[in-house]
Amino acid sequence: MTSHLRNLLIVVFSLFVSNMALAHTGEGVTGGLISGFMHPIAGLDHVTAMVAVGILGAFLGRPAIWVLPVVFPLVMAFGGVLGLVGVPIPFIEVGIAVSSIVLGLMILFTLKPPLWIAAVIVGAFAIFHGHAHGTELPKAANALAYSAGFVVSTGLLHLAGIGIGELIRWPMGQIVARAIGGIIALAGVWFLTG
Amino acid sequence: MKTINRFLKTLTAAVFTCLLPVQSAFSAGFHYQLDLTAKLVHNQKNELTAIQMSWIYDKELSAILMDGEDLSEANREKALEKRKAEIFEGLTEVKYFTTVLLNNNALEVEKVKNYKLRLNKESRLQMNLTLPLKKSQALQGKTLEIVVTDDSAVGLATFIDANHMLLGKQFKAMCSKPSLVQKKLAEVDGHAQVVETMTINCR
Amino acid sequence: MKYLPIQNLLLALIGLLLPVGAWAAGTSFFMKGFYHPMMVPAHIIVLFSLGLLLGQQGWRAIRVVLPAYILVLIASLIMTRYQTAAWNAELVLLTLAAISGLLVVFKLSLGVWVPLLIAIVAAVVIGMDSTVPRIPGLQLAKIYSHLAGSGVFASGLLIIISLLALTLRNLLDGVVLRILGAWSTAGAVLVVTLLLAPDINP
Repeated sequence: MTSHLRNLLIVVFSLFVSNMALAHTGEGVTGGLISGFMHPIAGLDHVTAMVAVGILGAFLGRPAIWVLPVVFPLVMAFGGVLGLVGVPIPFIEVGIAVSSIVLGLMILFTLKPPLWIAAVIVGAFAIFHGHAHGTELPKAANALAYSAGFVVSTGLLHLAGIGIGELIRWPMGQIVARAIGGIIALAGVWFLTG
Repeated sequence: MKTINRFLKTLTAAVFTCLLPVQSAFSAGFHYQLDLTAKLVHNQKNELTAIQMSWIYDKELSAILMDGEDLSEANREKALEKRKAEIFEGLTEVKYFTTVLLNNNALEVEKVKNYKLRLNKESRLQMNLTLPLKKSQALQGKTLEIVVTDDSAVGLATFIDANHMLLGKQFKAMCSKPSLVQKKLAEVDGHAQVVETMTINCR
Repeated sequence: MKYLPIQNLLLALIGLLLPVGAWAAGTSFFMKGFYHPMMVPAHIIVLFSLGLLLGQQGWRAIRVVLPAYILVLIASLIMTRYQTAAWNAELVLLTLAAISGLLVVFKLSLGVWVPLLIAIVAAVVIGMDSTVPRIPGLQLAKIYSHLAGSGVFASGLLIIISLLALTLRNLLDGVVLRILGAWSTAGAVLVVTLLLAPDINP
């Protein structure tokens, strides 16, 4: 373990200790921030898709490595706006589940479509994810804190995906990344059928 | 390896920076409470001429407003005298959190000339003042409402209960027992604005 | 017992001391002011996006824009004593955050004028939105302490994020910054929609 990773763990541990000491119930701004942060993480269907976008971008190389994780949130915001204003989109949950299947399979079989096709696929799925987030937003106690929370956690999930994707520099890493893609695709099937 | 180390170093700093406000967000915004006891003042014609008010500040606010002052037995009066004008001025700026309505019409008030600041047994500041009406008002056959609220929602100005509205002998004879209604309005910057209406029916 | 390097101990100490800050807010108006922007997510989001933009633009932009931002912020904080703002601060700040995020995504070479303009508007709005809680009779020294605390946080956060972003600007073609910029735009757009259409039925 590098010393920097250890430092990170020490900091996080210390902060958790002091958090417990304060024992706040997490209402208002803090509550909104935490519930927003947890929303993508608590939804495995969101987690798998976010990570898959990051991995796929790394697989496709530059410029996809930044184009896909950037297209996703921007189109997702559009889907979110649709969700907020009440424009119905059918089969939202199906769309979200299918996103994991399709993106997972693309990673598993190392499919490398042209950048514009990959961006269109990612963008199309982003609308479903965005719509789901958008319908949650008005219910949130503090919408902006909620939004800030899920922005941070989803960005981190993309970065985690890119980190996994970067493993393809090593032969073993390729296998690991593709295996994760397979798991994501399987998870998508489970979301669809479960 | 160098890139990864630099990335991890930056990530450490980034996580630390991001987690810092999580810690600090646990300290909530400032709120205070002022407890009001009010008494109706009348003239010889049994017309309402003024409202005597006693505002008791909560302990934390009292400590803040007297921060840095010597409140020992020997110097307490001097310290209170020193801060009296500024604390009173603060209450004046917010129009004593009070609106007086007679049959739903707001009554004009005059400048307060008499006020006193003291520290009670619980070390809470107490501001006693008399809020004079511009024109004396006959209450017979009318409904008097005293509305107290802090429109910034930082403070809670409260009667606590209807027993903190004192009518005095003359008004007690002609008016019913005061009733108090508390309403919570929409949030202002994350604080809920509370409006209290003390109603005295003299019909 | 294995000897822990001093830097690890220092980090652990800082982590454990953080709740002291929360306690201090109960007693000091400077600390109350310092923590106030944390209760206003719109301030955090715009400072985050602007910091990303400044870091991406490079050291030249940072050394010109940051001092200007700090000066304008100080002036706006002082102005809160004499004037209240009529605008909807949240709407303005979120729009600025969305614009800054988009500029980060496109990674354009903007020079100093565009970031400077965004920073000045942000400073005015953040400053005017940082009025001290109205407490009748509060001493002037405490009022200015509160304002100073807010100023220190709003400046400090922008400085830290700008410098962090500066170190990340070339990492993986600036991917990290671009992703964070995209997400802050997405978040800001969603909440602006919510603000503009308050009668939405979820």
